[in-house]
Amino acid sequence: MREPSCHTTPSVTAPAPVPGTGRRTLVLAGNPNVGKSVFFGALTGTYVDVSNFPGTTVEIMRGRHGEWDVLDTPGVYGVGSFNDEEAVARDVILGADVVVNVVDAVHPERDLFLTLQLVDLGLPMIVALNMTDEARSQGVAIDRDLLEDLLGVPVVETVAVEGRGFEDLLARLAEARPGHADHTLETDIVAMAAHVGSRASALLVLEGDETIAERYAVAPGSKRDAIYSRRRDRVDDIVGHVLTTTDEGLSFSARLSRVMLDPWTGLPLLGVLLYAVYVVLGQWVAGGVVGITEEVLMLGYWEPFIQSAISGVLDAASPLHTFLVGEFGILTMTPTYLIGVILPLVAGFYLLMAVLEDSGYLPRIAALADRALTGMGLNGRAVIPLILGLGCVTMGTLTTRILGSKRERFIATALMAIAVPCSAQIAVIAALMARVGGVYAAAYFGVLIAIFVLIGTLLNRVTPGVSTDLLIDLPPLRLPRLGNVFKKTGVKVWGFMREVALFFLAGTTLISLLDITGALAWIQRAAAPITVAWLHLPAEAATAFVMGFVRRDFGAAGFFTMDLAAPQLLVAMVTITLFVPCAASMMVILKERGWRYLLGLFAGSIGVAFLVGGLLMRLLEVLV
Amino acid sequence: MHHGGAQGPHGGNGRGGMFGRGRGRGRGRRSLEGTLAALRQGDRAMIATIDDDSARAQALRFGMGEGSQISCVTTLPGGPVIVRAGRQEIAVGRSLAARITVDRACEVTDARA
Repeated sequence: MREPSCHTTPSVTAPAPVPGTGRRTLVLAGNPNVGKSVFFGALTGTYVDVSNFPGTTVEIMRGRHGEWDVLDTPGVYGVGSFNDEEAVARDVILGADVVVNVVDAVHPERDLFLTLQLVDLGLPMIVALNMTDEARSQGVAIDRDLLEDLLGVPVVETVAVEGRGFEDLLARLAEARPGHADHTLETDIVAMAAHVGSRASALLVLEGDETIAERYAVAPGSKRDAIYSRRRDRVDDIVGHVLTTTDEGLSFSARLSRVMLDPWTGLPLLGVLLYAVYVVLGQWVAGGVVGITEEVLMLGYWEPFIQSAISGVLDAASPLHTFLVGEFGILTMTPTYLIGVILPLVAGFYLLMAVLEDSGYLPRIAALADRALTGMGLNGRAVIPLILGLGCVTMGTLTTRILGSKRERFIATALMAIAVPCSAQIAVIAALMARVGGVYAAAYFGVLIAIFVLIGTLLNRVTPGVSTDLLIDLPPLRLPRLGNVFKKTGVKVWGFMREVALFFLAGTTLISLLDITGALAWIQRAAAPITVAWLHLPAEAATAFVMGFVRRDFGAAGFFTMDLAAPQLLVAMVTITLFVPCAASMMVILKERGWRYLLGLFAGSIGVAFLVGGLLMRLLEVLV
Repeated sequence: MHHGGAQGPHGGNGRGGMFGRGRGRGRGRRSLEGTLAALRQGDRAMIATIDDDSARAQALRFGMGEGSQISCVTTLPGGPVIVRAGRQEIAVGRSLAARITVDRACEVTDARA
């Protein structure tokens, strides 16, 4: 399990220019939360995820605009190797013919650091000064003409979410050019470029980028501090010239930010928020909406309808009948869970997530959670992948790229794969738990949180290496734009449900096959020592665990038709949650962490699941 | 007021690695006196040294590099110190804050003027 101390860079297929086609590559670059993804959508006609916190554009989005190949990059504060996202952004940017640098007009002090680094890299570029309307309403004015003169590249004002400024941007794209770089670097860059072939790579080597240095077999430079300091001075100088602020008093958003960060008010506020999430998702959606969609719509109308329709054509004893409308049928169970149970909760979850992201509250939660997460070898920043993991573990695992060390990615991935249920799973579990009352639902989350803390603390002890410390910026709070929130929710839910549907279909096919061939009965007998003797569950529980290999929510759904006592249900839900991550996230884990990690996690999660399940059952038998 | 002097003790550790760490966290308690971790709400100070290679670079990106004027927005007990540099707010984890020395004597002079 020993991890090499040196970091690795995720392989990115470099956007190699396509010879002969005359297509050129346009790369969008910018800090996190600046609206790059909206630009991408506007340029290519495809809407992608737009977020207000670091780390959502985890995959490189590609699209086309006329003669241009358009590539999006993860939001980064600079180009380098500080984390895997930066490395991804760096490699994409190095392959650009033109860089469109999106700058948030609300905080140019932060964003222009990246801008000047891009300028120093010597790439042809154009700056989109975004959210100028919001900046103006906050009393921040930026002299666009002067900024353009000082940077030496075209600067265009935009309000991306409202589609303003794009014509201007496109009209001036041809003017994209290298800007006024730090002239004191020239001699060194020219000398280094003779070894590494390009000016951009030369600068990165001088800044001590080990990956690039290794690529060209040269020694990384040691002048990063000096280069960065001078760049910071230039940023401050430029900002001093182009920026005028009119409102020095604390705005409402600044005051709210104080309230959120002060532990005396911030923690209760977070508590209220979590309770509100529970009421909305756990009671209104899981109780109310699912009650209608699942029981009335799907079980009341759809299933009897489709069953009688199919029975009219097929013999009820035939395998095809079982396959289509049997207990696990692809026309009965699959649509009932997908539409009746999972869809409402997943939609509710992503809607809340979108509001949370767009408001800028997440970095504040990260600050509040930092102390607790430090004990688990993580820092506050890990709340972002962890919260995303509550939506979808696959998404969360990809987002561990924003973490600063391999050690943190190791721990966060394991925690998510074992102890964080995804939204679809919570949906099924909430629907099941509705039968047994609030105490058991609370116990379910209590046990999971305890396991989460336990595993985190343990991994912090045994994982080699050193974790990084929290160092994040807290962007200004914003009122989420409803249009963006709904658009984003729609895209996320659609993408998520498509994946779930695929795996549910594959899973039901598998289970039906096992059922028809009699393999299921054999597995049930073979697993009886664990399911019956150790977990004190019915023998059919083995079916649910087999389903759990496909997806954990699918596995949880397997318990629906069983007649379980309340303690049995709790044990079943805890065990299936801790059980192996879904097939999709296992594939991502394999890609991001390697097969040894996956094997360890696979064995570990099964071990933990059955160990905790059995112990919990014994505890409950004493208590109840 | 320049950065040159502040970097002296750190330039020569020869690690230069992106994830190279000068110190492990939590090992060996040092006095918090004169560090960012000792600041209270409303305190103003100048960042003197940042004893962490990657944090020093990241801090420069955020505008709180060595030599910058900062003020303490708030502190979370046992948790991060929230700092304001210019118009930027930055959360600094406690053990990192303990490795950032500050110069409070400079609070009246503006280092970046």
